[in-house]
Amino acid sequence: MTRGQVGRRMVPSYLATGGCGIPTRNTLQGLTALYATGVPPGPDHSPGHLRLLSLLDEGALTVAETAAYLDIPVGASKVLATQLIDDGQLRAEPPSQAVPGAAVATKELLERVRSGLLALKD
Amino acid sequence: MPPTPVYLPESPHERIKILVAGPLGIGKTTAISTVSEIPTLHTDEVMTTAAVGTDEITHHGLQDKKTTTVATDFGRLTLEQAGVILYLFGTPGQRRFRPLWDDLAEGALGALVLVDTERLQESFEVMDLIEERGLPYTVAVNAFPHSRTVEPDTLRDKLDLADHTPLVVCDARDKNSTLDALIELTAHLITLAGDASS
Repeated sequence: MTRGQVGRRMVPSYLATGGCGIPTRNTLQGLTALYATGVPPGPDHSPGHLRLLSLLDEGALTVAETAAYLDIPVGASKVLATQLIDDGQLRAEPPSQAVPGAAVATKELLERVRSGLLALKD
Repeated sequence: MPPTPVYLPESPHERIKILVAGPLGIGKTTAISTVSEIPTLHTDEVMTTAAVGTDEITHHGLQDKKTTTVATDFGRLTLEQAGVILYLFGTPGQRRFRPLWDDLAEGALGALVLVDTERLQESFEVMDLIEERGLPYTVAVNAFPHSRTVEPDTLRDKLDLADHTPLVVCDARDKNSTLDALIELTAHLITLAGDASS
């Protein structure tokens, strides 16, 4: 919120997705991790698809992180990712087994988070 | 230019989310960047219609403009032994950003609400938004140099906090202090999880 916008993005978000505004599936969350499968892109894939694939060439990132690095809204990244999952180039991994979308965490997970945070203190 | 990507670890892990919420200029981004292991990232989200009637664009001959851009900042912490990556999402406090709120709150475990004793009323809106979602939260008073020290009981009263909602003082510029506020929130979530299972 506090950072000024450096400049307009080069490609409007509706063009980044090839004009598609609705993901083909609704299971991706901001913290869903995206992994490249190694399947090469096809001739129908847009520059937006290719940029996402190239970003994930060296490792996995969450949907939210891909949006930040590609400078597109999270919604646009979800559209691109779902198309690439459908076509086989990407694999998605949900954020957590314990919290698949629900804002309910197990006590055991929370205990681990608390000790993990304590361990980060100097 | 966005920074060089910091990829996810290859070891199995769970990814969880906590919101850092509060009005503009309250120190959300500061708190996130103080504890984040990666340079703080940001996305520009395009919002439609919700700003109509709130934003003053209609007064400037831009009646056709129905979208507005909201930036959100986020960072991440790897809790190695826990096998958890914790994401902190800075969440704007205004009700007119509600559609964005729905996305950000999805899957969030809880929220750290930053308040400034000099402008408490600005935090009411964000506390309402959080309570409407039933999201557990902890209030962290960001200790600004200009801010008066207010007795915790007086603050609780002014913020109309539920008895069980923790209230802590933190310095968003200080790593340990910000971690302490997050630890307090996590302890609160553990208590609630215990109550739910008993």
